[in-house]
Amino acid sequence: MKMRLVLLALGLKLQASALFSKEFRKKIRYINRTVVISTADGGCSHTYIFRNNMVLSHPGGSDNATVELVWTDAKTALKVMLSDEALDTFSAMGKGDLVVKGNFQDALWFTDIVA
Amino acid sequence: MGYFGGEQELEFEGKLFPDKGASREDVMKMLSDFDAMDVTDIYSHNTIQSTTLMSHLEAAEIAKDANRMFLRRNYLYKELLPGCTKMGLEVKQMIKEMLRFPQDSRVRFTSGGSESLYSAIASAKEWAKQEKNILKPEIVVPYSIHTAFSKWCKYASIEIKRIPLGEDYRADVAAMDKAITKNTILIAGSAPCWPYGLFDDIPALGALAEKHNVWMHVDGCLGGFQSPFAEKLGQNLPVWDFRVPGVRSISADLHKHGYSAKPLSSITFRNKDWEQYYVCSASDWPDGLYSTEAIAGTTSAGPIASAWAVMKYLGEEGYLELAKRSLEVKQRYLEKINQIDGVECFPSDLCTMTVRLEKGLDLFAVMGGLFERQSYCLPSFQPPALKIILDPVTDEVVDTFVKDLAEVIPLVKAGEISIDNLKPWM
Repeated sequence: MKMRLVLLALGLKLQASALFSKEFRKKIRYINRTVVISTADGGCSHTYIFRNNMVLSHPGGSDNATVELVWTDAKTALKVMLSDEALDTFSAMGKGDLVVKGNFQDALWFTDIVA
Repeated sequence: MGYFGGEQELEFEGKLFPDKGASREDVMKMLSDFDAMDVTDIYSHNTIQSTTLMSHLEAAEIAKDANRMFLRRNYLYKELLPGCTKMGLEVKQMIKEMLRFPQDSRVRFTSGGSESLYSAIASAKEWAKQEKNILKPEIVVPYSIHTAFSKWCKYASIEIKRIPLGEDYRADVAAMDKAITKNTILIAGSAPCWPYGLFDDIPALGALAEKHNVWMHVDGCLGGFQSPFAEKLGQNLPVWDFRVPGVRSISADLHKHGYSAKPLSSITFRNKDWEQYYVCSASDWPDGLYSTEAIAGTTSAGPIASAWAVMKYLGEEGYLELAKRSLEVKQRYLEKINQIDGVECFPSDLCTMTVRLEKGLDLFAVMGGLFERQSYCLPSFQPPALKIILDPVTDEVVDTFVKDLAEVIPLVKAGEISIDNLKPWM
């Protein structure tokens, strides 16, 4: 439940940034990609679509994902996503807690813009 | 971002391009400085993994000399260079003999594995357009196939379907069968794949290609020049070449276990019937016919000369000896690494092997500890593992890496080494 709320909040934050932050809009200009965050058990997933300088987001997965960040479980995902340590995401990958499916560069870009 | 994301950005003071040229001695001295910054000499460092595929010093010297001798010859104009033409044809013939390809197969040189794979897709696309009128092409490949497939599909607006592997980490042929549609132009398998060093079931994939009448490509970039020799040494490998009826093209890198200078790979078509879909002789410009060996235009004849020289120098006996050494190296790694608590070698067929980490061990921390000891290796993420390239290196190289790994694992477990240790390379 908590993870669903965090993913929802992340979507709202990205949408607000796209509306009100010039700096953020620069980062998503010409970007056309779909990022999905999910848990391995399929219990939780959220889709973030970047297109036409806008961000759309909705609960659930997407067949058009350019990259999917799959977490082993919600608890680990929350711990890392809410951490201030930039390298924690890499560490999660290194430990097998996070699997990046699809375009790795898109994943790096996404972790950068949500930081 | 460095190791994981491309070139580092450097800030330069002043202007780099000089107003006046420097002396040859000064230029060479400055180049030596760059050389010293790299870690390229496997025999002086003893600990390099994955970054070089050349480990026969004499053959390396011969390849270098041959490369230098022909470096400035443009293989694009080979018709004007009868020596280069003859040399190139001799290399192609030797490739057919080494890899047991049929005499009527058609070999073409490329700049590397990526270009070889692009060439296969381009041929399949043209074939499918002409013969099946497929205008929205897609390809179906195993998840472990080289990512250059995805790269070219992006450039060429082709949909790529990467199908999850079977439990044995090889292509799931039944799942690939289900994924094929009327728009599928190509399927492919690896012999072996880069991530795990495992061969896909090429005979089954070949039968699948025949059933659906799609192009079948075998990516032998990594093992193409080692597999035939390993087989002769008694290694039990799946059949992966043109002995499989459905296979239309095979890629094999000369600059890997062919031991030529970089960059040089090959794509071979079963015969002229399939090669015709690759031939692209353009003439819609003022200068008439422009016919190239592969996708690239200008190509140095240097690497081709180096391939010729190394093939002649090593002969069958030399390649067998190097393949034998690679198999011994694999065995040595397996025995020694499996004694280390917290890691385990995942068995492979040939060329590469992964060392899997115990749950909870951070791959990046392990790499950090190894890099600090000048033991370089590449990562694999699914599951987290270190990748070892099974080059025909000395026992000392193997033992140094194993010693470093045995030292690093307990330190990572104790929290004394973390991902921070890898920061200088990130």
